[in-house]
Amino acid sequence: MPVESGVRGYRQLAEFLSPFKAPLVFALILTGCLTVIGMVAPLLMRRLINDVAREGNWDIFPMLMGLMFAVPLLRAVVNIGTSITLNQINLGIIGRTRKRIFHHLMRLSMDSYSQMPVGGMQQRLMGDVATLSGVATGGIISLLADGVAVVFAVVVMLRLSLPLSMLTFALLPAYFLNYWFFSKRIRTATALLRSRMDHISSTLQERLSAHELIQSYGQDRAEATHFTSQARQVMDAAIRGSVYSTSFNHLATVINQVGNTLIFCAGAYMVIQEQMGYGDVVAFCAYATNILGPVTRFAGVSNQLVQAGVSADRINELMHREPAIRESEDPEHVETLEGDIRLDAVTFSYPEGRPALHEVTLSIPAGTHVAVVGAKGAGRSTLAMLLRRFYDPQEGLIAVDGTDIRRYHLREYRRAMAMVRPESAIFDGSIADNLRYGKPDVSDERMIEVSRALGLDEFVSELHDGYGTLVGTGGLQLSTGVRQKIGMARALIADPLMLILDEAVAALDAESAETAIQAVLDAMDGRTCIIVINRVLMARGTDRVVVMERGRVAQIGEHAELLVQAGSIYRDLFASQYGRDRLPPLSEE
Amino acid sequence: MMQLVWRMIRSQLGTHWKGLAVVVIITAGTSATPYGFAMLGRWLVDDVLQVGAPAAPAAEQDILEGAGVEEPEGLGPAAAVELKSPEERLRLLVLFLLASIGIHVAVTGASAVSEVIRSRINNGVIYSLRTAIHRKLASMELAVFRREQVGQLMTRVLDDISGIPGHMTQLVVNAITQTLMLVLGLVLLVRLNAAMTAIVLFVLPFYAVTCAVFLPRIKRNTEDLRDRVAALSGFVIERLSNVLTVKNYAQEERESDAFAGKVDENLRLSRRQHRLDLLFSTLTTVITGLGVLTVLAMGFLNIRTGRMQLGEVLAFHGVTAQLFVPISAMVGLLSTAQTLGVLSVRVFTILDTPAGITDPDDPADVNTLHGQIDFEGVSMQYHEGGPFALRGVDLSIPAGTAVCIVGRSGSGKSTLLGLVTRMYDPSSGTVKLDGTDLRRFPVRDLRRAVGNVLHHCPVFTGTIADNIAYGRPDAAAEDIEKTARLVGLDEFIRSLDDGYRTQLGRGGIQMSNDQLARLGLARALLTHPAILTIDDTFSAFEPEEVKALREAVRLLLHDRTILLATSQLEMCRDADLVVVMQQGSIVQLGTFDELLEQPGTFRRMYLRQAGLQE
Repeated sequence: MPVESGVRGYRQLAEFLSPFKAPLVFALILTGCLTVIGMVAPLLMRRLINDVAREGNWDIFPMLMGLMFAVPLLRAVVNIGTSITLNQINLGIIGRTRKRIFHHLMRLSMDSYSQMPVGGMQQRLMGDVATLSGVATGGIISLLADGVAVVFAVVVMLRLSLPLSMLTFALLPAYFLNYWFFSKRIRTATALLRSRMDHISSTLQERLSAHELIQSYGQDRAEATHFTSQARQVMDAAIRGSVYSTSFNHLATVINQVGNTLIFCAGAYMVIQEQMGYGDVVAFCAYATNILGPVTRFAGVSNQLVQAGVSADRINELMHREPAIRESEDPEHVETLEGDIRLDAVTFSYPEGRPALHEVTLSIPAGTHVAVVGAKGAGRSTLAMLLRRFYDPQEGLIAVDGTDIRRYHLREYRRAMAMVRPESAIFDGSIADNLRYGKPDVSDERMIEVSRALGLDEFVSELHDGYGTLVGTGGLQLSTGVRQKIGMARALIADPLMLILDEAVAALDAESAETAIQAVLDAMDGRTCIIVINRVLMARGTDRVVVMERGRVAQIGEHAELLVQAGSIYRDLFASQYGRDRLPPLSEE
Repeated sequence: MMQLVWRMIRSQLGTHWKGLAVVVIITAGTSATPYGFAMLGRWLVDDVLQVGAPAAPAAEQDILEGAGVEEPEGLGPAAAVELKSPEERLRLLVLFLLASIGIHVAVTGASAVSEVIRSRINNGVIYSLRTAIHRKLASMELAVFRREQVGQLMTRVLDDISGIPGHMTQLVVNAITQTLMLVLGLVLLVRLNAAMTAIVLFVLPFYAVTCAVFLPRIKRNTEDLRDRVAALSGFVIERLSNVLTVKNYAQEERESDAFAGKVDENLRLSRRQHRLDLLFSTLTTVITGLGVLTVLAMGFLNIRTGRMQLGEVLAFHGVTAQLFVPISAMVGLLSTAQTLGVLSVRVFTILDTPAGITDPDDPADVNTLHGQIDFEGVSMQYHEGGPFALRGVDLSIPAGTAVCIVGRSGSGKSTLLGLVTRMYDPSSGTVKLDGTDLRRFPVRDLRRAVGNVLHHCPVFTGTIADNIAYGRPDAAAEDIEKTARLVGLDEFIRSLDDGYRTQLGRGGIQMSNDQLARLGLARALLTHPAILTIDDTFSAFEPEEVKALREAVRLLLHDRTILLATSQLEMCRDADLVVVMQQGSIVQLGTFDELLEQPGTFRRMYLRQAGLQE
């Protein structure tokens, strides 16, 4: 299994390595040199012992000693070259691959994001890329260097002594037996430990974010007991894993030591029998170490290769996803939008199969302010998502200013309009950074002006650092209400040609919500604006109301007009929200 | 900081001292074996193989003649060797073989045992630290929890602690064993050849200085790099989780560029790190390589003059090569101690944080609570010098009253509710329950007596039934189902394949906010609390839905005190008492109808919400 997937791993790796061919070849040559230099020392030592110490040939001593001194220096020089080259390749792969993946992630449309958790994407971007580049430079090079070393060592060993060589080869199966016995057990134990660790850390995450609940039910002791038992399981798994890996490593050491001792003693025996010089034995032992080392390493490297193959697979799977929302071949550039919106028999289901809109036909003239109301799940938010082209409808057509929106340059189209969602994202950084997100060069005056209109300035000016206050994970935690205000201010600051508010005021109290909506409508005077709302009275300031019901448009008209129509859904909505007694009388017709 | 390291060692390793002693003894023994083999090798080469001596009497003459003139004076150890017969030598060789295999197996076996003991100690320490920190966390009061940003610190610490025991055992074990090694090595060298030891002593300081200069820098750089990588991860998570906003403002290019910038910065740091590593390893290998070779060359010259035998030279060479290990290990200990110091500070910062609210010495009984609540001059600041969340609130709520608290966001509604469950203690004034100061009740009992429906209702990984029964894990299945039915969840739950056994949370189904709110209510109702508080949980519900829920509450808790904070004024219609709050103070009190008739905040808010102008 490891060999097979190892080969596949290589093929996958080759793709990531291809831009670095020349430096890789260079590194390989240097590594070869390094190995050969390393293997010269035992030969020198052999001559020192045999020829100098034993035979008393002191004439060659200065030369041999000089070479001995040259070895570490030469080795250091070559090693610096190799190491720097390899590091460049390594970092090159990391940088290049990470940037490519992130860029690709930014291109992907929302359907990919709903199919793959963010944690998985992050894992590919950080962990998998690191594994890949580590193996590419570490694993492969060490495998090749070991190969060179083994060939060199075997040749020299055979020349030094055939019987000792045979003994050395006879020892190899012991290594494989050890590996074969333990590898699976260690893998299972590691997997168990990892899954228990995952478990404990996600439990912790969950409990930390629900601290208030735990406290309010007085359950902290029970939680501690629960956590303790999980921590104990982690401890047990960790200890079991360490028993296996300790046994494996130490058994490998024993095999290695006993093997070396056997080889050495066999050599010593031959010295006594005067079949070999002691120097030969010393050199032979040094080479035997050189082939036994790679054998022990091989197991590790082949595991790494399998890992790298898996990582490469995971990355490729991500890179081969295509955004569902695509730019047209010859996109139409968006300089200005009048904001005349037309939906023609639009039908849409979400990627996971949930139907959302059914044959919606709707026309919104340029500059109109429209309120969209209806029960939860009636399709109001979906309408907003489609207009933004986060998804394309399966059937029907959406046109803005008479052009199919699929024909527009995607980013220019999106930049021309803004949308505010109920959950406003807050990025790490200052409040000002967050407000300016859509238009980084906007002036302070404009930013404060918009914030004031939305009732946000009041909150910000009470903060110690005002608009410079840091928010997000590392900074101040904001209430949902403040986040929603920031979301709306961010949209207005971006100065869009069209604006969509999707339940953007749901967390505000009635008074603040009304102020905010009014501020938005005032700012968007003359530009198309669509507001999705819960409470029907918020629709008063708009030109037109669209009532949605189960994925269809049920009613269109003005607030006052719909309110007094007999059998109007809008009227029913009003009654359920504000009470029958507050209904205005029905109109005459 | 070093006191904290000491405190950490004492508190965590104290119980493991026996195991640790075994580890120290074994480690000292195993690290001495290379020395042992170097000396054994000398015996083998000089006395068994007799390599330095002529192989046969005939050859002896040749070599001595060939070697030159000094032979008559060559009265060093070499000359004193007396040749052994091949049979004798063979017997000694077998002895050597058996002895060295025996030593190897024994030493490796012992070191395996010591590894396992070490792993047990390490994991035991991780376990005890983890649970101690978690216990602290779980008991920490909300105010402290938020103020210290404990949540964040805690996750970091729970990751960090896995490094503590390793560093700690390393510090203790290495400090002892490596010192022993260094001394033992030097003693051996002096005994082998005092003059050559001088050369070694000349080289060692170079090595030590290089270590001392580089190791701390490398360590700093590594930590720096690790922080940057963590920051990059954080950036990725944040952007990807909020990709909708990124796309919304069509900022993909800018984000890609920002990411590329951060990646490049990381790579620059990695490159620097690599250069530093490389420089260090090159310098040390060159220094040790040259030092060891000098020793070897000197040794050979001594062989030539007959002052040493080959075996001695090889042994000296072997011991010298080993001597560099304890030096780098001891220099490394300094930075280990530093890291351990930093980690200890983090751990003890948390363990030493006062929990905030503590149990009274002579607790009052909560079991007979009627549910009368009195606020007497209660003011609340979340932190000293901060804004007042409540200012001098006086309010008396008779047992069994249904109270609605209304006001704009930030007017102090949630704070008022939090005080009833003693999530916080007031900065001044008292909150009384049935006339007894809240602080006199055991805090966990009090909280179990007061049901609490939060604004956002979290779920835990587990079944729906487990989640509903969170506050009363021993609740009967019928009770759980009955409560679920009353809050309008039963139908939904039954529509699921696994019904009440359906998994929620990690790996489970997602519930809508609506359903979560109902679940939160069911959870509270099931505990039959003497007092129920609801923190603006149902404001997004349609009035009819709210009415149904109100029926459920009334049915289960008919004579209990109920506090409901809300921003929907319609919900106040049936309340016995409406409390209107503004900027931390109570501005109006009365029934819905009374308040609607008198001019004031409530009337203004109501008319505005209903779309009528005054």
